[in-house]
Amino acid sequence: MSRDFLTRAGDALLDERRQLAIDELRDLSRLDDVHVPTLAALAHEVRLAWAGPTVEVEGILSVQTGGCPEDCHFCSQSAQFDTPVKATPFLDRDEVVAAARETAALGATEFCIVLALRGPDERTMQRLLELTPVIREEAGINVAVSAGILTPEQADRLAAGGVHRYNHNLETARSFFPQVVTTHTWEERRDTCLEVRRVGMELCCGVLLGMGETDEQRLELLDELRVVGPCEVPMNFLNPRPGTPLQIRRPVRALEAIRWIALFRLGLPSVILRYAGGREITLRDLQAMGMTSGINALIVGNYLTTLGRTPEEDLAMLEDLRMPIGALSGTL
Amino acid sequence: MAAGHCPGCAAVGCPGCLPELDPPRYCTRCGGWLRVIVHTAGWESTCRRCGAEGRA
Repeated sequence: MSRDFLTRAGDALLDERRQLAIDELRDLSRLDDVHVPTLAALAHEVRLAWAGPTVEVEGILSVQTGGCPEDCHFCSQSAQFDTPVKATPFLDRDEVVAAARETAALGATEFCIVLALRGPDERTMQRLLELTPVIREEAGINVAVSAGILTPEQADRLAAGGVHRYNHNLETARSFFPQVVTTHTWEERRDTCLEVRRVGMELCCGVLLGMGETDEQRLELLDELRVVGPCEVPMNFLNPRPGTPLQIRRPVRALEAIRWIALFRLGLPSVILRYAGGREITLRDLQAMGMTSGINALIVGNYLTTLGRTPEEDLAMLEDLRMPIGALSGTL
Repeated sequence: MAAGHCPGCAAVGCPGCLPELDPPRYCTRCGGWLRVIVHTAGWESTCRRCGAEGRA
């Protein structure tokens, strides 16, 4: 039976070039652990067929850290929790440009500036609109922004100001969201995602697995992502942060993470599926396996408030896997 | 840790509670909060109390 599910999925995605139904993904999600490597191999084949061999490398920078009024239970930057991450105001222009140059020198084509806030006020908007062309011109890299919930007018201005990609994560399924965030709604997040698409910015819309959601809710999230239609989906795995309500959760097991990377690729065959936060503690020695399970992009080096592997380790992994580095776009 | 304050919690005498993949959060010299910038290939810190700087 397991082989039948895998064969049918391969036929659908590789021969018929049709997306899998959620019921088909559910069948695959229930395969025994012993079949996960085969599932991963199929996801890799699907990625090559639908998205090509190129891997997109991105760097991220927290330009305004901590002090966030929202209560996302996974986040160490919420002012509502007593965490070691304290509020740091907007970085200086020179600090941001230096970080962008450093990222570009590693071969990255995308640099995302991230702010811990509910949504940008006018002063923040003006800073973002001043920074975006400066980063692009001085570092020669595409600029992505993650600044929370946008009004339609703000989305218009960021698009006109040259923001290439806007990040706004759904994080989790609509049915689970109220258990991890109470200060804003899932629908508010979705609406910002739709605004981003309306104004023509590329939408980066990520997920965070391991917060206590069920497998069924992960499938629900996958289905919701199909409706929102991002060009990029960063896959985060919970890194339980001290002081947050989710600090006591255990990280996702490595093989479970591989299973869900593969399922997200099979469910979203043409998307830019990016390795993001938590992969070091979740996957440990299986990080290269993730690259052959459907991933075709990664955040290189460090994250917003925590450290990752060195960029050299990530670039060596791609070299070892003979995966070329380059820019990807929503026109896959 | 030579200066006595834990970079994870600022306590004196803490055996070390900073998670493996975290930059320092507190000054090992005076225990003050650090302004930390984490960028792609490293981090920089400045103590808000004593001004001590660090980087990696």
